[in-house]
Amino acid sequence: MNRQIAIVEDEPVIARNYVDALRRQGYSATHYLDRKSAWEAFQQRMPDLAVIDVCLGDEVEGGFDLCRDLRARAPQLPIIFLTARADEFDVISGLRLGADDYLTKDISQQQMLARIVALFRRVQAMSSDSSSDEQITRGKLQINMDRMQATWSGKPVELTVTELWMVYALTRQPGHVKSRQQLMDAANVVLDDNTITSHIKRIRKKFIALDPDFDAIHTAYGMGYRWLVE
Amino acid sequence: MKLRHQLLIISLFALSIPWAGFQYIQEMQRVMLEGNERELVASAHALALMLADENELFSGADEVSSPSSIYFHDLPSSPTLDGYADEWRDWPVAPASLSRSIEEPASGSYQAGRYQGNLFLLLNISDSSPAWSTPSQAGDQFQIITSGGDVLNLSPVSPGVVRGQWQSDEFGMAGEYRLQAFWRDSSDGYLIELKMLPGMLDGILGLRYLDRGSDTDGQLSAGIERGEASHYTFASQELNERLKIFATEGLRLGVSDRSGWVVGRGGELQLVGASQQEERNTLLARIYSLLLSEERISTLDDWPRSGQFQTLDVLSSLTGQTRTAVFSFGNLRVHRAAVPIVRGGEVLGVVIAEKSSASVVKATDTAFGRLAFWAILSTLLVAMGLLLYATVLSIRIRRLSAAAQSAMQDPASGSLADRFPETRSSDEIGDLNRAYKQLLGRLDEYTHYLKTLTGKLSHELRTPLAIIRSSLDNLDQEHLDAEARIYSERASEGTSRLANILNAMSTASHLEQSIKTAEFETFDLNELIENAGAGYRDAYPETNIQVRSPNHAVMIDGSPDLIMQLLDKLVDNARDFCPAHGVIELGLVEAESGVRLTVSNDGPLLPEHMQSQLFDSLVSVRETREANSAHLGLGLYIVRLIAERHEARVFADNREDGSGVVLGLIFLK
Repeated sequence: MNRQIAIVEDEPVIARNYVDALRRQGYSATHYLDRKSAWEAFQQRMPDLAVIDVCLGDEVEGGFDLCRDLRARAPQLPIIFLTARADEFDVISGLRLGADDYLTKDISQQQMLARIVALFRRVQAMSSDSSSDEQITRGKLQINMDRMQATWSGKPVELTVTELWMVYALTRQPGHVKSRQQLMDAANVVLDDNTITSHIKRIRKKFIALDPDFDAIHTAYGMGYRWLVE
Repeated sequence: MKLRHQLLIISLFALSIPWAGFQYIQEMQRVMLEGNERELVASAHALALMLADENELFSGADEVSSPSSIYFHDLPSSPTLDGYADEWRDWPVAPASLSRSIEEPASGSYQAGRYQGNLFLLLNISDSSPAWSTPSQAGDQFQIITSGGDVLNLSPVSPGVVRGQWQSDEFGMAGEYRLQAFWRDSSDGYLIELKMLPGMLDGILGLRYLDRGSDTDGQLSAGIERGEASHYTFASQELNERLKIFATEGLRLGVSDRSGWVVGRGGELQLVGASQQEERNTLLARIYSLLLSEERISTLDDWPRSGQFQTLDVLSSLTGQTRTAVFSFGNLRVHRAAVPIVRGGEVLGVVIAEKSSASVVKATDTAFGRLAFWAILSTLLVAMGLLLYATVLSIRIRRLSAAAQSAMQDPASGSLADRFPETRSSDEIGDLNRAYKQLLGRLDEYTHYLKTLTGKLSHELRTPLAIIRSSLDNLDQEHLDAEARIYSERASEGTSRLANILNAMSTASHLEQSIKTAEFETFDLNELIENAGAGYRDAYPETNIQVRSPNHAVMIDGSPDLIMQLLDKLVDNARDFCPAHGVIELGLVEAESGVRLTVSNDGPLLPEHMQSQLFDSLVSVRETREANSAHLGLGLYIVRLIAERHEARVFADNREDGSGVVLGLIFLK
């Protein structure tokens, strides 16, 4: 059975392009023009993944509302924001609402598809629970890229896909400085320096929430970041 | 000219207040003096009418005097016949000239007086060749001519009492015992004092002095002579008494006969103010006299002393007209009315009434004093009031212009209009203030629009860009021939460039937000600079980047990420302008004013006038070397935003030696 992807987007041309692209990849994609129609459809049947625009018609933050409702009903549902709004504030809001990724509309289709694939992979990994995964261990940190999961002292760290890729890139060669550009390449995103910085900040916070003494990510001013192992 | 000075000059108009006051006082004085004059004419007229009716009191026509008659003043006491003039000096009797011409070899003067009906004469004769009579030769002689041409001769042989002798054909040399005389030689001639009983004269009197010249053989020259022998005159006692009754206070009355001789007088002028005024030679008095002084007027003649009216008004009044005149006495003025006494169509004399302006002057003087006080007070008040008002006004305007200037110049964050003071005053300056505020508010909106334009634009352009991009991506999946694929690739190349530009445009607004939310920590700026320098050297191996920093930690409170971005922008900017083998130097100095972080580079200098605008949004001052690189002028604007977040001050300057420019910021302590 094809995976069902819902695209909630008020711009029909873009939506149709995405639908076409997704169908070409073998997904079953459905397009909803506004929050109401999307929500009604979701009541009938939950999609396997939702791509939501923040601004839906007259509702400036309709996407956020929809995300919140969806998350409440389906905690495991992968949700991606795909929007023209690239403000730091919006990115943070979106991620905070429980979205798995936040993409701006100038992202290439290949990248978007890669994200979707990665998300599905994580969902699959979580459900299948196989042990032959690619795994990295750096001190208290363990990363399983097949399951798209990271743990610190055995406790899972709730990282988004982008964040996970960044951590993965940093930890592959501990002690080596990764420039912002390298991190961007690793996460398959085109972001400005500032967004990288805020991503790093969020990553740190998430680790610190688990372990107040966390200090593994070190800033090399002017160059980038490096992962230190105690 | 400053507003305050302008209003100060305008306040000079307040000086018109005292001027108007002076004009008023002058007018008042004039009216009062006119009233005085009318009063004088009225009283003189009444007196003239009365005298015309009273024949006994003023006979007028009976004895005809001439202008050359001898006038006997009333003396307060009898003079001692001793040939000394002592007592005469104190009496108000003016010496009259004995001679008609001053060219005569001998000259003399006389003073004539009357006491209890007796007539007294004091003669003062200058004679360069005094000669006493000797038995063989006649010396200097003095002669009294009476009615009918009779001559009474005085021919002294020595100083002392001289006897008079009638010189007539009938009686030969008859002695006259009704005459007493004392003859004394003086330093330049003789002094002769005479006492006569009026009976011996019969109303007619002439005086003659005969001089025996030193060079002639005893011949007597013509000497000097007091005119024709004519009726002598004196004041009538009855008339005096009568006039005294009419003379009220300050009023002086006089009656003149047809020749101008004073035949009656009464009352005294009020002249007390005169001398006092002279002493009060204060500034005020000077201003006063300057303001009130009129045309020059002749000084008052002293007719009680000379016994004769000689002024034009009295003389013309003798022809039958009523005259008024004004004379000055000190700074007082004396008004005089002359009214003819007409009896039977013939002018017999003139009644003269005089009054000084003492009371009027006293009144106006007091008024002037008060006026001057109040006028100066009010002028000062007006001037001070205007000055105060002008000061307040100019302070308000200056404050307004200062506020406008600081609002425009101070690039601190926050809206322009908020920094502009609000006013509730309802006048024009208040309106101006509000208009300014409104204007700045508009400017704010406009600037805000400009600032957000790039963000909005990038946001709005993103959706159509996404349409193009996704369409191109889809197109890639279709079966295209090689040629079509080239075009599709070019199209996607273009869209990715467009996307980059949009990203750059939205960077500023992104940054503004992230700057606002940035978290501060205390970190070592020195370490950051050194790391950054190493990083830049790795990143840009073609550029010579040097770091000059202190060897110890420089701890500041801030966001290292933001500072890093700031450095990126400054270094980017420096690289844009640095020539191929130029040096870019990162500097960190702990100075008095605070920590200075600088990035300086070799290269073209900044234009003088643009230095302050350099850090504004969308301003690109210098020509970049690479004309094709996207340069929106946002880099340094971001620097400014970050600096402001750190309460640091940005600056841009040319190097002192002119080899390049220094941009940087000072973390104020």
